[in-house]
Amino acid sequence: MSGQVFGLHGVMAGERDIDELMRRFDALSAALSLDGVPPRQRHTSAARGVSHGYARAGAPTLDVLLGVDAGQTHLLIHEDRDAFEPYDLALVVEWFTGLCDISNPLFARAYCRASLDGIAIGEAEDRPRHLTWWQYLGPAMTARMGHMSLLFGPYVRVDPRDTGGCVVWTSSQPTDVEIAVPAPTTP
Amino acid sequence: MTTAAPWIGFHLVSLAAPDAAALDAAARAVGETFGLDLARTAPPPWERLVFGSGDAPVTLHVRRSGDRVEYALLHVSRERFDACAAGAVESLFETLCRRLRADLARTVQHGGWAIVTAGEMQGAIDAIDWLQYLGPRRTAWSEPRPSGPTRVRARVFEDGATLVRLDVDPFADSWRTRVAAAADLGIPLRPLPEKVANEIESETRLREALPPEPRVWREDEAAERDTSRARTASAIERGLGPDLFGHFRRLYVDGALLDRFAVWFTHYGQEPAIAAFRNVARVHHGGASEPFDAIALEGCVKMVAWSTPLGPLAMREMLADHAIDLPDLGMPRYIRNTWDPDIVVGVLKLAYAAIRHCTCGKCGPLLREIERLEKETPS
Repeated sequence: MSGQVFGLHGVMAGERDIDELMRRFDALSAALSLDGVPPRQRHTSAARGVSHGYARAGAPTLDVLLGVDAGQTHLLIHEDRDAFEPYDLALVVEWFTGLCDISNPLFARAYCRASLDGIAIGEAEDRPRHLTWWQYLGPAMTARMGHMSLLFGPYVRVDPRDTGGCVVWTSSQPTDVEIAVPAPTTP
Repeated sequence: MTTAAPWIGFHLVSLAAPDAAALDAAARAVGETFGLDLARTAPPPWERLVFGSGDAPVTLHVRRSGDRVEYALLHVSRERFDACAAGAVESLFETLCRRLRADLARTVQHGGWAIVTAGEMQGAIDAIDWLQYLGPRRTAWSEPRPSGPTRVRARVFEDGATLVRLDVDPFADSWRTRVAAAADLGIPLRPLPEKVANEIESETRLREALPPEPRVWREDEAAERDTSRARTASAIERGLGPDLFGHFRRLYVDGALLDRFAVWFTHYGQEPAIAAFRNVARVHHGGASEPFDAIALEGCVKMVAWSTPLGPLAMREMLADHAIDLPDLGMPRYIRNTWDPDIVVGVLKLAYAAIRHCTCGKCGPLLREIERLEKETPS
């Protein structure tokens, strides 16, 4: 599976306190028995950012990056797919969901690709241009899509969150590479 | 992750202020209908009552926005539906609509096509599902035409509200029934899913392209009928000549078929029809003993009639002859069942290409004859 990446990209409105967010990510990860470890890659871009590493004993390190760029805050987990192999999918989902509950991004989308499948510019402020197996829709995007349209819509599951957003599961599989479904238009 | 099992739900929109007692009554009705206990509730922004457990528990969502309250009952699976029977689910729908004072409500299949939209709240209804409820302020639909193909039953309450049931399996797509019922009730439907819309459009266009059914003669019209049939048979005989007509008459010249041929003469044109009959007679002259069915026979006629852009009739007759590939009658049947003239032309172009590249003793002279006819035709 080398060459494929698996991860999550989220976009938050405004410049958030990334140290505070990361502190809460640490607490969430610890609660899920993911130990804090040195990140494999230090954040090196010109934009302001911080990365923390998490791992279960004997398993590869998963880096979480929080960065501020162009007036928005980005959450990024971007690893070789093999790095996720030892981790149970239920744990990964719980982790992704917890990160989104804490950071409440405008939009976050999981991916499994041959390359980074980031959220396009403007997408987080509008509607998803495509859906993968798992995504978090923030409260504003949820309202734009329509609560009832989402609940009745052609998704495998819609999990309402206390943030006012929701997690949307589609029939794509987490390991589907280069497959994404267009976001349906609702009446 | 599992694949979603099909489910249905209710979508109600009320213009009445939220009423805690009414919501309690609605919750009791949901629990009693499905034999489930209220497991938990959640406050706004996703206010909901969750009944039972599992991945897809029955859930009643409440959404307050502006002057309206929306209720969504989700995850009535086939198993849950069958366990309490259609009557109980219909009764629950009625109870929720009445207690929660719905203005407009409808059953909705997972996928959401039939949800109540903002446009419907302001104007005309544009969807139909198994059950729909029109509140007292709404004008009930007119009675469906008695001759209509669908069964729609309406029940009017004392306050003028109406519950309308379309006789369909609530879990089946039933798109054609919905379209027919909407036509009966005079409802302009919202866009159908693209695949379904394409299929239905194809069927409609084919229906429009096909000839009408032959006239049904009354007993007192026997003389007129016999004259008409004799005229049709005579026209075919003249067009085929004695040898070919002998083969054709043996299999096709009977009463009912002659009535159909007369309709084809009008619909497709007499000359193309007779040219096609010559092809069919040649096939039988060549040894085929089984008659073509009416669908394949009509396809042979349509192939010649609808290929006018290709060139003169004689050329199209030859190409169509080549396109009949016995013993498989799939091609003429396919041609008969398409509404698209381009497909008919395309099939004959394929036949032409096959002839041009064929080296057999039959195709060489055929190609030369087709080329001669092409040259003789004024452009």
